Amino acid sequence: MTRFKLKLYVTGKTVRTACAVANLRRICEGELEGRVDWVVIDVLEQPQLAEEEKVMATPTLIKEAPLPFQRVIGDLSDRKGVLGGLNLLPRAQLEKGEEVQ
Amino acid sequence: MKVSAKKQPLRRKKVPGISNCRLIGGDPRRGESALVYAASHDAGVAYAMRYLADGIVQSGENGVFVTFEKSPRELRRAAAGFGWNVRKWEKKARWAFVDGTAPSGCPPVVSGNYDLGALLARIKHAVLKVKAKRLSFDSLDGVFDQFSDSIAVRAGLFAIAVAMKEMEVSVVMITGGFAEDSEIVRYGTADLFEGNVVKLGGVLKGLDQSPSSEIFTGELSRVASAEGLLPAG
Repeated sequence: MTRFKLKLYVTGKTVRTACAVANLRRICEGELEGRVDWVVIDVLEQPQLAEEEKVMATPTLIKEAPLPFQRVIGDLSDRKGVLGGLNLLPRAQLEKGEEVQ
Repeated sequence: MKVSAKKQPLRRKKVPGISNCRLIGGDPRRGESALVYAASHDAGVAYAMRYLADGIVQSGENGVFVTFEKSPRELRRAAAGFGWNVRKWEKKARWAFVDGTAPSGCPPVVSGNYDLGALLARIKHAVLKVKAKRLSFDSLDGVFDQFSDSIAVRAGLFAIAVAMKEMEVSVVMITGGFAEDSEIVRYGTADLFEGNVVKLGGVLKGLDQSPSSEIFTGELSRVASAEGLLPAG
């Protein structure tokens, strides 16, 4: 099974951060349940990581695996857009093995 | 009060890659931001690098270069053409880059609202790392090109300008040729610069007449202009 590795870059503990984390959690506990490792990185605490990954906007979600690398910018409120960015279809279709390549 | 360039005392300043540069007032004072209109991108880059190099060589002030168009590697090479060893300054923690060029790979997908909080955090980190007193930002056009939400970009630029003022870092921000339909004017960023405007290449036409120049009325306190660009390097 393809395992996903996701990083969510945020700036501080703001409403926008909370929104992005909640939206990502729903996807990780939904479409990606049991096959994702995800981490939240606060650029205020670790700006050097943002520099290394050339992150400019927050929130920014980076899909490191599976390849290709993909970035999703924003609070992830457009679920359809996020799933498209992660190359995912809704869970029902995933269960039928219809993951988009 | 509108200040005419002709009424100000002129002083010549040597800017690599640019000939016949007439500066009025000169570079921004500590904690201020200046907008630099450049007729060509190379002229803007030359000005931005010269601003930091002057700080290191002449004033003992370290600098941060925020780049959205040329990579740090390209900028080091260009600087070498002017006789500046940027790599050496980086090793001595006198110069730092913030690399804002677009990452390779698939273009990002946008989902919901965002801000430029990461860019601001990276800039602050770089400023603290080298104890910078100067910052060059190349260019406004480059950051607007990367993000479709111009309101978020403008808010981000404002936050950067405010943060640099608080940290007593003076800033030059480069932008492309000035025109009546200038994107920069449309985006409303000129008010960030408190009337500090530098013109390179004599590209400002009809400053007193054009509608877009009205934003400067009463604030244009210090103007620098340069005429006749030479090829950079």
